[in-house]
Amino acid sequence: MEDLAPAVVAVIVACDPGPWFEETLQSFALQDYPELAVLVLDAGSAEDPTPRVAAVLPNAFVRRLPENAGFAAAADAVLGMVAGASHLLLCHDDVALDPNVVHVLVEESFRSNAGIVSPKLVAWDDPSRLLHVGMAVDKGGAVVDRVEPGEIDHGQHDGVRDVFLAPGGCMLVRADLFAELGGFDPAVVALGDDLDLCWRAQVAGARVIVAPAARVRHLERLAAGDRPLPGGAPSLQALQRRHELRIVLVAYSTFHLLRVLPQVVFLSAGEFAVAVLTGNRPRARGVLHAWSWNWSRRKELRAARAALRERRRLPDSEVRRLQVRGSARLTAYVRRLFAHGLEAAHAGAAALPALISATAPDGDEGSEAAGGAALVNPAGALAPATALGTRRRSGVVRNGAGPQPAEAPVESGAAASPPLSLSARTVVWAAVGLVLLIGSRQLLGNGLPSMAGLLSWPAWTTLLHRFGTGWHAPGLGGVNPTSPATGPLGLLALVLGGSSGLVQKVIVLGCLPVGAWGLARLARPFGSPRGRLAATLVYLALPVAYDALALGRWDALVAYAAAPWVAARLARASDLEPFASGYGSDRAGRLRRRRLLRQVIGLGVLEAVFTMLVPAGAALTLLMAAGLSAGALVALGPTGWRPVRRMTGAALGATAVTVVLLAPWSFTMLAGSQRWQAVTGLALLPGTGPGWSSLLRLAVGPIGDSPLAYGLVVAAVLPLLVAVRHRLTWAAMAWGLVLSSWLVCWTEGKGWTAGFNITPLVLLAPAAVGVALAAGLGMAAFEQDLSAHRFGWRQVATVLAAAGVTVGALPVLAAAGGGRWDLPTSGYGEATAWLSGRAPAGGFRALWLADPRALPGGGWQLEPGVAYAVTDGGLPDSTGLWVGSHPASAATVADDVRLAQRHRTVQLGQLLAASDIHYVVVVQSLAPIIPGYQSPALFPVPATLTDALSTQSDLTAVPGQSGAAIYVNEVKAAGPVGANLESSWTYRGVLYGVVVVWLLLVVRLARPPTVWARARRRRSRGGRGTSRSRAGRPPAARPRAGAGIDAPAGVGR
Amino acid sequence: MTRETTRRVALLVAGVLVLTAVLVADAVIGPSAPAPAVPPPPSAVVADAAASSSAWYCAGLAAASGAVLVTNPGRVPVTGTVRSQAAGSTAVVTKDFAAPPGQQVAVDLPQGAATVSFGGGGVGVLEAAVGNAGVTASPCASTTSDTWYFAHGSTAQGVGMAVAVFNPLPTPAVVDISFASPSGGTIVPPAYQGIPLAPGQSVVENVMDHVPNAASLATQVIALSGSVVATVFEQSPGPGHGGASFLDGATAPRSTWAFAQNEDVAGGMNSFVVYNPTSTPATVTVALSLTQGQAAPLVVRVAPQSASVLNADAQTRIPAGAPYGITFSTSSSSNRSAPGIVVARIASSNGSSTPAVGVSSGQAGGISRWLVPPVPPGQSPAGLAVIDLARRPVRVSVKGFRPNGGAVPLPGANAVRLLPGAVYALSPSPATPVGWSPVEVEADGPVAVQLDPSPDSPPGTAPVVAWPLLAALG
Repeated sequence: MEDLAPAVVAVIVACDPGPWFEETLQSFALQDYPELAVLVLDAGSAEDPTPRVAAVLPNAFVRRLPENAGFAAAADAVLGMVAGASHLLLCHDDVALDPNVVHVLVEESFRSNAGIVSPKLVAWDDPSRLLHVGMAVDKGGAVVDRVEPGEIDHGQHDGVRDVFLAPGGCMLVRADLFAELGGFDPAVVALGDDLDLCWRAQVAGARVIVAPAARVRHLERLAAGDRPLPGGAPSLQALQRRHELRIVLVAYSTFHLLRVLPQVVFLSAGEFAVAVLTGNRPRARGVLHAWSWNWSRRKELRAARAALRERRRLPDSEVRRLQVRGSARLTAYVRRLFAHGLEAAHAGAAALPALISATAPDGDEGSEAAGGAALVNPAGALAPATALGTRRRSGVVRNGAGPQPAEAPVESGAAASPPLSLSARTVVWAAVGLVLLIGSRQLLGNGLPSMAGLLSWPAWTTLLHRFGTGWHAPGLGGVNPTSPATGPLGLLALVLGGSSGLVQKVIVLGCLPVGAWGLARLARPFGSPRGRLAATLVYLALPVAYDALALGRWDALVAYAAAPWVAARLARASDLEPFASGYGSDRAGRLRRRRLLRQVIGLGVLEAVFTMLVPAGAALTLLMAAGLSAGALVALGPTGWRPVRRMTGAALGATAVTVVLLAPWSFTMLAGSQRWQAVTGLALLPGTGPGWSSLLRLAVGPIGDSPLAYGLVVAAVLPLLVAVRHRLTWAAMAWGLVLSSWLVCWTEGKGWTAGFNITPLVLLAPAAVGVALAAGLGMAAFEQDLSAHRFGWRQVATVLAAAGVTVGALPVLAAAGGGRWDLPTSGYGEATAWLSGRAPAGGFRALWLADPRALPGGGWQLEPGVAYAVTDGGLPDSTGLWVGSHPASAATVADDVRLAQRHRTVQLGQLLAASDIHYVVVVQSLAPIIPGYQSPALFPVPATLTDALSTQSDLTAVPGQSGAAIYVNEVKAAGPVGANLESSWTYRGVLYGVVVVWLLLVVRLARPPTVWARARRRRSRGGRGTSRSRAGRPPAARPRAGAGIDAPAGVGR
Repeated sequence: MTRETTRRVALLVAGVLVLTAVLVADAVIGPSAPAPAVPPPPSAVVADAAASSSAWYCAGLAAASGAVLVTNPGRVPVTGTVRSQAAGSTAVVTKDFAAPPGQQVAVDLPQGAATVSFGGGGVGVLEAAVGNAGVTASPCASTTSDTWYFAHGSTAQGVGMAVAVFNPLPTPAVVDISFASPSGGTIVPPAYQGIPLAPGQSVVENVMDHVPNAASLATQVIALSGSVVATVFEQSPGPGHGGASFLDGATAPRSTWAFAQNEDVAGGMNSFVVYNPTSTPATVTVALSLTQGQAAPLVVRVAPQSASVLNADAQTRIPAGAPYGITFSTSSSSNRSAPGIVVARIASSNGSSTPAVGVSSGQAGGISRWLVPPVPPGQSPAGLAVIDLARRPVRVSVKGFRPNGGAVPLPGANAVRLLPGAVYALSPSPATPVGWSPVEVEADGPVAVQLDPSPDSPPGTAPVVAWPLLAALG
């Protein structure tokens, strides 16, 4: 009896096959299946393969197709050519079958009643390595492999099972099924034809199985990108995306399509956004191409759906049983992110083999599909992360501290951070700049209202004159020394062309970028560009600066600008990694001492500039040193005392330098504690300070008054959980800054600080530096420390931190919409402009009474919660911010007011007239209250004050705008307002001497000393650190113990 | 545990401990208590003798012609100036005067609100009117205010009630006048809304014109702008039951009011009107101090913006014919401060004395030092009563002023111990010339005082109201 084996036609689609083709043909010749015919379809090869086929398979049929329209179109040609066959074995031209493959596949097809049977695909060169044993798919069409790249075949997958996808290299298809389905979809020119056929087959009720007993070797030239594609085809990545989407749009029924399509849209949008932000243009283009290509073929899709609907025998709920849950592509991205870092995640699975091959002992390149296909091993994680972590030396180690001496400790086993691409940085900073511009648009166009610390600036000549003469108007005028800020600010005004409005905007709004710049410099030595970026972004996202602007606190804005620079100086003084000088403790002692002196002087100059603008600057510097020191002690234990001594010494030395540089003003404050008001601030009414929740959010004003603002603080906790080595140390020190600021603010609010009343907005600037620095360190730790750990709680914490930053930035982003950061539109300049019109000839003075937070300019304390100031001619200008250390004769005015409060006079006007005071202005809100237009923050004064003024028999209340009560003194002033007094020559002599000292110090700091230059030349000759050739070009980097080496080509570029 | 882990744990523990400690401390200690609200001083307070200037504003004289009585307890003569301007007139009458040390001087004035100014302090001023119904004297106000409350007035049975409002300051004022009655509801006559007052101007509103036949009216004067002085002048016609009273108002409702001396004479009547101008109900405890001790307190509930009348005659616990002190105080609930009230007394005799009826305001609690003026000219003092308003015993001294300065306790009136609610009575005598000369009452706790001018009229029909002192004058 004859064997009645079903007839099988092996269809080999060939297109310019390489030298392996003969081996392929030979494998078909050696098949032990009796009823096998071979048909070679040549898809537009340049050279006719017929002689090659004839040489190995003389009985094979060869059909030449006119063009290469892709494997699918070519294989579909068999529909019109073959009749009577039971099965078709559809193959690429780079497969080699074991002799029993056809036999096993056909046998299994009948045994399992399968419509499509897939063999076990193994590597061409090493059959012990698995390629595919059937594949799975997620709901979006992304393919999920069942084996790991390079997995050795130990028989672990040898079992016949249902699969969703039979890979297209070699598959046995029932001929009737193939005909019923109409063959492959010819529009799928490459990558996805197998998925389309298998999905439609299952919808039609057929089973797709894998028969591992049939082994086929596959060269995979198509997936490797070595195969010529049909003319006009885009990249493999784009092809894969569009075909996946096409298959999803065709294969699902209407109900399930409505369910799945929004998810696919969402994931595509997310992938596109990530690709744009990370500069991955091919991926972004691929996503866009997928949607546009399918949209342009919607008629085709409708027809295909209709055709499939007619053949549907299985509901989608059954078909979905074999699909992988969730999104395989997203899962793969997250796993690559946590296991290998950002670069690997964005490079896609295509980069993984290169990474793995760089560390694997035998250099196997893996077998990921090209184009970023999301191939995930469902069995678990990829190659052990610890192995990667200890071997990886990817990227170039960058250290902003400059040359690295040999004895500087270098981490072993830590991975350095790859640089951030220029395009990514540009995009991010453009977005930040846009937000700041949008948030400040009204301020740039319309100017700033005159209120609190935002007052108009006099001409530069006036500023310089006041600096030179020492005369100042606040109070009853005098030569009582005050801050020398008028000098440098006058010079700045001169440089800016003398425009007062421009000067004000530059000085006020410029604090934001200066602060961000300072923080970027502070974070640079940690060697993580993304960490630096994250720290700067968090600093800009914290509400501190914007609340300062909204409340008119220019001193808090200056503190925001200066605090990171001060922190950076203190960090260098600590000599802790990564700020270490590398001079050790015993070597080059002279150099070390000179460096320390230079640090002290540099910090002192910075502190002096800070303090002359914000008198509390010196106290803030000492507070920052204390906070950093506390963190260092907790983090380092006994070994922390050395950096503590250095930082404390630097801060104290710098303060001494500040005292000298701010003479004679600083000397007057040493005359007694009652003169420290300018530095320590004015007391507020008990119970009116910010609560602890506002302090924790660093939001003591209208912006950030939301629980969302906690997000940024939460994000700053991350480095405490995941960072190691110096990153952990500095995270602790950053938190030392934060906690010390909070504690001082809180105790001030309780009234426990006895005369120390620095405004919370100023005190929170160091806390903002701490939070931002910690957030940046979290990012650096994520890049450099997390790879040593498997996926676990650390990664979850990282996600929470990222969410915290995103959520925490929302309040500031929302406030940007207003265009003026909640700053009132109209100030007291307009509300009090009429004062001079009604004043007597010869000039007049005004007495201002207000809560210290609402008082325009500076003042002295009348009582807790009330400050006073006396000004010439109405609203003070910005020079009124710096009052003298003592009110001098203006103290009599305060005494007169107290008399009225204690009911010891009903003729306050007569008393004030002796000081030429014609107006008494009681300010009770930050800016005038204009119903329906602006509702500024309220700072009421005690009722005893307003009642006392209202009951005076010689003060007439003037009806005016809410927010400020103005009283006109009915008693005529004694005489013309006092003329300018001339300061003494002693005062001028001291002042000019200090100016000379300033100039000398600035010049000295700007020019490196000879000894430093000599030391650098000596080091470069000794081979420590990188060096420069005589031509100025850096020579090739030489490997040094513990130092970073250049990255392998292709990673991090 | 690796070294890194140890460090990390130490850092986290330290941070959590610090934060927890702060949060716990914040919760335990609570938010910083805001500065306690300082209640406005009473409307008539004698300024410190060392004050640079002081002034008194006498609005009642706009409603009735009379005089200002200037009491100078000090040891040096005091000179002052009176400026008087009649209601609706721009003519100003100015008089300079001198008050000898330790004496009271009367400065007669035509009808018109007056401002009495001094170049110093330590001087008290009364406004006094004399008529057929007798003499009434009441302290002028030492301060202006944007609110004035009067617990009682009447337009029933021909009683004439006038509200005099005076703007002594250079700032123009606009005022509203409204009323509340024990039957509930607020009466807001349109004619009394938005009354303008130029600097120095006064206005006298005859309440009968717009709110007739009201047995008891509580009055509220609100200055929408500016700051004013207000007084109610009530005049009962007819012999036998006539009387005139200046009722000085309260600038703010307070939690405690006291009347040191009262007596239910046969045929007479004592009633107290409790006015609650706030928006919360008031529960008022009425404490009675009898000669034989404290009687069981009464409780009166007064609805918001309403008044309640307590007839002492109807109280069986008050024996007839016996003097008693009475104190009205409100209590605070757990989460609210005590609402304030204003209390007035209507005292009438059996018609055999003149005046037969008088209305007076209570004395606010919380004052421990008083300056008691002599009785008005033509009257004789009946006696001084001092009641302890504290919840503990206090020691009271009644001091006379020496010609060469200083105050010394009167014989038998030095550090007299008073139990809570008890009344100390001091009769005038050559050794204790209360009512003849100004005296200072000083205690180490809050007390209220009352000087009655005539032994013929029941206590309270025409009391001489003392002035609170901010500081000792002696």
